[in-house]
Amino acid sequence: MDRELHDALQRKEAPDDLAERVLARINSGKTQPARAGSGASPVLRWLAAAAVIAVAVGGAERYYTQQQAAETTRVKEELRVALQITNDTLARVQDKISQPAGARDR
Amino acid sequence: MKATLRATFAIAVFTLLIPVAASAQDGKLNLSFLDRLAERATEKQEVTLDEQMLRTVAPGIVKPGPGADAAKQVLSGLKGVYVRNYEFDNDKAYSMDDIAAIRKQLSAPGWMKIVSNEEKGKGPNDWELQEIYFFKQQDGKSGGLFIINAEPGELSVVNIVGTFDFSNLAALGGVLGIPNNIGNSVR
Repeated sequence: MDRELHDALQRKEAPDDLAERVLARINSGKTQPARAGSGASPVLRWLAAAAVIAVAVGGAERYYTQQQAAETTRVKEELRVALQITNDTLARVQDKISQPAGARDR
Repeated sequence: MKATLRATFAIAVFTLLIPVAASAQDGKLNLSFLDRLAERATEKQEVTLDEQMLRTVAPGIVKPGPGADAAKQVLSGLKGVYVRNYEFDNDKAYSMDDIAAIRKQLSAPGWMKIVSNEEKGKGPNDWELQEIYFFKQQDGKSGGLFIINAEPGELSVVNIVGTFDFSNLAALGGVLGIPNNIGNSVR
């Protein structure tokens, strides 16, 4: 096993004409640079673009919804505080008004 | 020459009165006079909700349930909610003079005082004031409410602007989780 591995991984010299063969092949124009998506059809490209746009719009909509919910919560809380103070103030006024005149004199 | 001066003066006075008249038409008071008191307060609660804020969030506030319709009626009529609540550690932190600018606005046409209690004792800090005003629009509908409770060391001011049935405020309070019936005391 060790010997087999050793033989398989042993350094081998490249053939002498390797560089010439590679250059010849390049010059012959038979090679094509590898490009991502180069093989995709226009329909697929449009679908991919539409998917990206859909994700972006969905994300923006979700962000807007979350912002809206946060704003609603904030205003609701402020309104609750405002009505609580209104309630307390009215109760205070009512308490003062309902007191007999003698009790109000200090 | 005198006539020209008189005309100029009249125009100047008329120009100055326009904003006063405009602000008096919707029951909204200028509470900025209280800003300097806020700086002295040890505890303060301030709420400023204008019509746009209320309109934006109104649909999300009221959930289906008892009082929802009444609460919606109030919310749809609200144009502003402005509350200032201050507590001071010093009884001399403010005086009646500090709130005179606010009360002066209530002498504008449309405002009606419905509850008033003013007490002045012998001492300089022996005073208090409770007042409730309604604002009546030109069409006869109520356009706002103003409540003040002023005592040495404590000041609460409420200005609710809009056309709504005041008794329905309780429903809105219920929707927002406030147990007491707001508005019962002045019905």
